Amino acid sequence: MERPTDNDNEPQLPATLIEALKAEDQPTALITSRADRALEAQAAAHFAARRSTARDWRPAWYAAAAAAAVALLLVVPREPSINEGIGAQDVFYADVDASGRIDIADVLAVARSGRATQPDIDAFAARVVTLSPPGTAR
Amino acid sequence: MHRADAMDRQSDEELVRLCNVGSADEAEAAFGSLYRRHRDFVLRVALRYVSDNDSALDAVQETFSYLLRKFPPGGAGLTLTARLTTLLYPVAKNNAISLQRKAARSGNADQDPDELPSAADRSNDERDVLSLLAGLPADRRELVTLRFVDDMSLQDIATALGLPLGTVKSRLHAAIADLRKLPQVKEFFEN
Repeated sequence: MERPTDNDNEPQLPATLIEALKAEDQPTALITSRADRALEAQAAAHFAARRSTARDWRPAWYAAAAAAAVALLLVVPREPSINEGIGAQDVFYADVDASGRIDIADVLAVARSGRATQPDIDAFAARVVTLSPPGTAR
Repeated sequence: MHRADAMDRQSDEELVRLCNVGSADEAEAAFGSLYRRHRDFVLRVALRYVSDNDSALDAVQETFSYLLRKFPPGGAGLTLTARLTTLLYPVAKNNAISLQRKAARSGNADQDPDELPSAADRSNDERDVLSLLAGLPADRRELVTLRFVDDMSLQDIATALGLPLGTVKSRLHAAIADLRKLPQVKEFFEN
């Protein structure tokens, strides 16, 4: 990649040194496909609020059911958070669609219910997609 | 996949615009492109400040979560006035440093969380770029890395670090002058 030059008087390094530096800066960690999917899921939840109801493929009763489930969450005390310190606004962290696990589908359900603010949705999504050890809610 | 390919050909400015005002699908695809384009850079930055891979991956996630929050549902979010890397760099660095400090508090008490990991912390099988720059003060080491490893322009470095351009220029001059004196890089200047 050609390095942008700011002016002719700019100090340079020998090309061999630059090559050596770049060679050593190669990452020792790999970004896994799981990590990629986690970010993609977080983005999907974040932008879900822009979906118009006209384009929503889910049946009409779904939004009402999700809203009722979210309203119930506000009344019923929530379980202790699994990942403390993720964020204070995690009251929606629950199995909203009764699928048996807390996942990104629950985040989307909360987003579509219209009952949560964007920060709440983001906090819920961040918690769901946090790279937690296997066995915990995802 | 077709949408992803088309998005990957867009400029950062266009992708940011779509994240701001695009439909849900467009914004999601645009953000995905930004992520794929810049994730390796963010990871490399993080690895300069943390001593374990898990912390580096966490720093990557936190950095892009931060970027995601720059695009509120109603649009009118982030406006690019410089290259996106000038925004991502300080965020990635600060996230990595915070994670390293957390690890230092809970683990190795000898680890100075404000310093780059020393050569001793790295695997013996790895050649260590930090050893080539060892002996330079941290701020000058950072400048050399940004300029010659990350290929950032002096203006972009100034923006990323929040420094005047003149300061970046003079510090880089001083950094290279110091670098010339280091025994481990002397041969590069002599050949």
